[in-house]
Amino acid sequence: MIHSALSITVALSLSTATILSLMALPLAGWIVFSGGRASAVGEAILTLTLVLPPAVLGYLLLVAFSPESPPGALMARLLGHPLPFSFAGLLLASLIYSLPFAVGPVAQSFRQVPKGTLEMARILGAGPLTVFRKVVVPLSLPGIATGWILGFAHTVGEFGVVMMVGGNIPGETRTLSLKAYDDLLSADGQGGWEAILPLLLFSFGALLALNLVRRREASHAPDPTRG
Amino acid sequence: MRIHMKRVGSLSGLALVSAVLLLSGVLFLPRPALAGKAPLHVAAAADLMPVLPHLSRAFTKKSGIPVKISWGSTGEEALAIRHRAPYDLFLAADSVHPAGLAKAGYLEKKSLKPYAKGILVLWVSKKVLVAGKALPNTALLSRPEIKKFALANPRLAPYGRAALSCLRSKGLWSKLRKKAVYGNSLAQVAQYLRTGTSQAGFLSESQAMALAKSRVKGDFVALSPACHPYLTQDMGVVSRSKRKKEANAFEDFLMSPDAQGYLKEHGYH
Repeated sequence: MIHSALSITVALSLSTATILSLMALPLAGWIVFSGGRASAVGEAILTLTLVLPPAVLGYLLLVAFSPESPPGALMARLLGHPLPFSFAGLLLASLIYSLPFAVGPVAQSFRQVPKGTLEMARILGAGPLTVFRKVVVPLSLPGIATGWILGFAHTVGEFGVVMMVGGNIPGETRTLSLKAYDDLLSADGQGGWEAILPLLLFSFGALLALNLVRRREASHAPDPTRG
Repeated sequence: MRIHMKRVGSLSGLALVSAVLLLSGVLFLPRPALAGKAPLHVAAAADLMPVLPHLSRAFTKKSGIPVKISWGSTGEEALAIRHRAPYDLFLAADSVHPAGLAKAGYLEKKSLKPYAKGILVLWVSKKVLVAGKALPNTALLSRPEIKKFALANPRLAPYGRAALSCLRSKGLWSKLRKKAVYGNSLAQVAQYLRTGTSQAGFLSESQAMALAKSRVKGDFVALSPACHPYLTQDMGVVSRSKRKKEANAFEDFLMSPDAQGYLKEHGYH
């Protein structure tokens, strides 16, 4: 089935952002509340893809996903097809690539939950899971929303990783950013506006949503003097 | 307490000063290789990756003119030249892009020369060859062992366009297009073969020979001129270049019997 670059990008970004938001809750909880040295190492690993050049990350993923590597062979058997050059491969790569953008804001929110509130809940007899579910998560909704938006926006704009892992297949793994690049570079193209316009729209929409979340957060913020 | 603070302050001051010194050193110290002459900046198509470094070193040795090379697909580099990239010489993988650039005034018309005839090849990994009990050929692409085969983006890279027209002329394209993946240039196609993510791919013979020399297991077959004519590769001096004399000298060097002989030994017709 052939899909447009637009629908591929939307499907990829929506699923990446949503899966990451769900993964971010336990991951950020571990980073913020476990307090062990392992969580510092964990946070560094989670943030690694923030600083690694995308083409390098894409290459590493390509090597790991290759049907000639043991993990790649296992995934190929589970899926029925090799990971590289497929939507599933693209999704897995995007999850890894956009992870710090989705987890970071959630961890930040968790850190800002007043210590007193947590202690109060504990004194009232709530177990750690109940505290997490009933106190930490509800107080961190703006951070979770921010993480979702950033995860979405970052996936829309990714280029180096999808180029390497996806193989630029029209209708399957050619995303808007790859299409924009192709259209702009090829002499026969009528310019890249067909791809650029939705990219601009997505970026602006994401930033707008981000600002709205921040404003809401500022007007609802708990008074720090009463923490 | 105050003494302690002061020491921290002076320490961070020291760190700042040394960082600034280091940075300015990196930025402003003359680099030994470039101290004498500014290098000739060549934009080269990716099929030349296995051969041009050797040739440019030989040229530098002979003329004293250092050369630096930017790699890309012919389409990418033609666009860069249209947008005034600071290149002196363009080595394309076809004659269409240089002709278009010369017509629009971006390349010197009289400097256009065919410097090589490229050979399109098909590389097939050893596993597929063993399973099919065959030498590499385009019919193997239909085999189930080949999940994906790679070609350079036909809109940007002449070798990709050549591969596409070869498959079309054999009536194989409509059947095989679902297995095709695209690299931005031949370099990325070679990488897909090195990592084993593609089981076959269309390359220049120069790139295929380099791949065979590394530890990648497989074999290749020439598709030029049977399935696609040799690729006439033209070069041209960039009109805005301030180093036209040196660029012309490099052109002359590439046309010399020595350089032409080297190209013929390394995958050019």
